[in-house]
Amino acid sequence: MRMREDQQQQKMYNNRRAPQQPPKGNPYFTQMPGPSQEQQPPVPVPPSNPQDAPQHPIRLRKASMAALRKFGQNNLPTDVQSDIHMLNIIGQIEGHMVLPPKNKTTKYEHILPQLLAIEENPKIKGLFVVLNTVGGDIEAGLAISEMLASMTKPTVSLVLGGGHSIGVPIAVATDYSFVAGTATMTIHPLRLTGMVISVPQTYEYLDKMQDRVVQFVTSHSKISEKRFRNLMFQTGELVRDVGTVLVGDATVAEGLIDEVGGLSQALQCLRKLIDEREQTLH
Amino acid sequence: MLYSIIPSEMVFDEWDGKELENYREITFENRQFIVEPLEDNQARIVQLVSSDPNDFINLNYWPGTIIKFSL
Repeated sequence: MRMREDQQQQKMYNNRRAPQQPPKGNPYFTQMPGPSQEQQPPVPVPPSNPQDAPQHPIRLRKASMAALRKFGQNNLPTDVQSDIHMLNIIGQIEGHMVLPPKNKTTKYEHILPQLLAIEENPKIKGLFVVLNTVGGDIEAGLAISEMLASMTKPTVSLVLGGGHSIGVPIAVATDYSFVAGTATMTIHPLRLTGMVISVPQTYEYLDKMQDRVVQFVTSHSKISEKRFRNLMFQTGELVRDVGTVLVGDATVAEGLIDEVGGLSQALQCLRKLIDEREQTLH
Repeated sequence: MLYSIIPSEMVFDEWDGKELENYREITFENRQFIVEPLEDNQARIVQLVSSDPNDFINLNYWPGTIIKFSL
């Protein structure tokens, strides 16, 4: 399979057109007297013998890409920098512990430097956070939330699919939050299940950890602390646990998320926030 | 400590920590990648780590692309 691909690329490389010579009839191109044609710098010509061709895979790929473009391939704007950057928070949020590879994770050590770079880069005007997470490390999640909340650049979040557990503080940390109509958010208490790793998880400790989440969410959204705790310990919603599953507009009705919407609404909102910020800066 | 709807025993079950060795993080063309190393300083892109949406429509950075890098 690999061989056949390489041969095809080789073929395309050999078939591509030779570089264009300067047009002879161009009035702006004046023939200088003196050096003859032979002394001009040699024009690179692709080698005709396949064995002489460079075996470098990237060069080969580039050459085949160049050949493809000539046949009308879309020329993607690869060197344009977008003024809106995006953070995609998926799977488990990974913090102090590396999770087994079967888990899809978003790593704390990737996100935090990106947030700093986005805040510092003058070409970046705003940040769009997309969430589809099942939760994860509580301290990593809170760290990302605090970083988002303390950024000066406009931030907008969109919960797609799910924004559960520690995804809730991340979703509300941005300046404005959106939720897709079908997205769900699960609010449940912290608990001691399965493997417990080298932390003194007394009841008091758990309670303190939980308070940190509750404090953050209630201070960055319109939901009251009492109501949030009620949702957290509600019975009858989850089969084997206490807690609440909020779907789409229920998150807005509870005051957790600002609006139900999708990509266009979220980007429009972010553009508006960016414009407002630009006006106050100038 | 995990605060997740996935129970911890499902997150951690039957893992001996060996599978992680297959992937490495490298910087290539000023961007961070998670790659699967191959022979001859080549690697297959597994994931691009970037916040610039335009990086994700660059065909050279697509997952599965073989890149050549120097250590």
